[in-house]
Amino acid sequence: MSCLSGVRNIISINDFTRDQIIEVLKLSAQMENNRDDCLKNKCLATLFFEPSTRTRLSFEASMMQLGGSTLGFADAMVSSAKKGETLYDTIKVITQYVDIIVIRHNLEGAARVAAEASTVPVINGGDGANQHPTQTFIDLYTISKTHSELLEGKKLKIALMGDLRYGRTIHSLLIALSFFNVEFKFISPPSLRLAETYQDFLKSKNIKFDISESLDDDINSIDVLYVTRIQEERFPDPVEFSRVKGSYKITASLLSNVKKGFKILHPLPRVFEIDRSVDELEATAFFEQAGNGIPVRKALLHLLLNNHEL
Amino acid sequence: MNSKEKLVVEAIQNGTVIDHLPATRTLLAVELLTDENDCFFIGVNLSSKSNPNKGIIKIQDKILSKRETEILASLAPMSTVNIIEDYKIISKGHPQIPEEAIGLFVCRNDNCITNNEPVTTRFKLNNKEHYCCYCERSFPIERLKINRPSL
Repeated sequence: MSCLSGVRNIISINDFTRDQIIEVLKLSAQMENNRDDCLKNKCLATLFFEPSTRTRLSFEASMMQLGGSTLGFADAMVSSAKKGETLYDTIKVITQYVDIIVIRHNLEGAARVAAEASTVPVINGGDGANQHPTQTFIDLYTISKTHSELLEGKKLKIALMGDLRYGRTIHSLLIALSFFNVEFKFISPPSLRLAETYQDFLKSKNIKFDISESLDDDINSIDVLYVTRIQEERFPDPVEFSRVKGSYKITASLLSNVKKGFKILHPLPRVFEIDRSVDELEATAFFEQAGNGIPVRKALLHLLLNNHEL
Repeated sequence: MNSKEKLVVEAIQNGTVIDHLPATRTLLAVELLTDENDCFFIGVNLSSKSNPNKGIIKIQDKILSKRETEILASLAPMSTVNIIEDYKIISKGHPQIPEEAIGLFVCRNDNCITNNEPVTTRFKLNNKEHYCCYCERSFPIERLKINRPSL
C-alpha cells in the first residue's frame, strides 16, 4: 500500500511525512508527459476568493490535460460570500456539484475549514499568510530536478532571501526541506528576519543555518538561491523601503562567481528582486519552476481523486 | 501549606484551592477562572518545598467546571486542585491536560478563520505554547485568551 493512500486533502505541508513528500515528487515525474484521460468525467471547482494567476490556471490546465473539466470563480465578489454566506455553507453546497475543490482564501485556516465541510477532496491553493502546500511541492520538485542530490541524501546549501518573516512559501519550504540533508542561509533585512519559532525548529532538528543581511561573497558556496518578494506594505517608512529594495536585487553581474549547477528560484510574481539580465543565465530556474506546476498539480489531482474512490 | 502562606492567604471554608501555580501565570489563572461574582484570595511568589515562587488561588464556594479545569490544565498542568469542605481537603489532584482544547480559547491571530467565521477553535498545547489547528500559528501560553460564550 502506498504511503499516500490515507491522504484525502492537501491542506498543509505539516500534514506530510518525508516518505509522502518523496512519493509526491515521484508521481509528479511520472506526470511530466502524461495526457491520458484518467480524470475524464471528473470536475474540479476552483474557488478563488483572492486573486491568482499561476495557481488557478495551472490547476485548470492540469485538470484539462487529464480529461477533466473545471468550474469556479476568481473573485469573492461574484460568490455568495458577498451576501454574507459562511465559507462552511458555501463548501457544503459546492461539494455536491464537483469531485474535487481547490480553494484560495484570504483567511488563515480557511482551507482546513473547507476540508471539514466537504465530502470531496480539498486542495489548499493558499490561505492568507499560512500555507500554500502545492507551491511547496513545486519548489521541492524543481530543486529535485535541478539537484538530484536532494533525494540521494547529499548535502545542499539553500539560501532563502527576501521576506522571511511573513512569506508563506518560505515557511512551508523550510519545513519540507528540513526532511532532507540541507544547510540554510537566510538573507533579509532585520525587520523581515526569520521568526525565532522557525530558528528554534531548525535547531531542534540540528540543521545548520546562518543569518545575514546581504548576499555577500559566499554566494559561491550556495546551490540554490530561493528569492521572494519584499512587499512595500511591510515597511511603515517608504524611505526605508526604497533603501532596502536596492539591496535585495539580483543582477547578472552578482552571479558571475557562482557554484557549478547553481540555480535561482522564485515563486513569482517578481517585482524588482530579480533583474531581467538574469533571465538568460543558465542559473535561472524560476520560469521552469512555474511550469512544474503542471506535473505536480496533475499528480495531486490524480492522487486525491483515486484515493477518494477507494 | 507552610506558615508563611497561612499568614498571607486566607483559608476558605468551602470551595477550591489551586496550588503550585507558576507565579508568572497566577494572575492569568485568576483572569481566566473567576468572574466578578467570585470571592477569591491570591498569593504570588510564595515558597514551598518544590517551588520557591509558587502562586495560589483560593476561590470561595466554587468548584471548577470541566471546562475550567481544562483551561487550568492548559495554563498550569503541574498545579494541584484541592476541593475544600468545612476547611478540610476532601480531594486533591492535577488537572488533566486535554489533547486538544476545543472551543476553550480564542486565537490571537486576527486573520485566523476562527475569528472571522463561526468556527469552533481547536488548540494543541504544551507547557510553553498553544498551537492553533486552523491558522497553524503558535502563541506563548501567557497569551491564552479565553473564549467567553456570549449569554
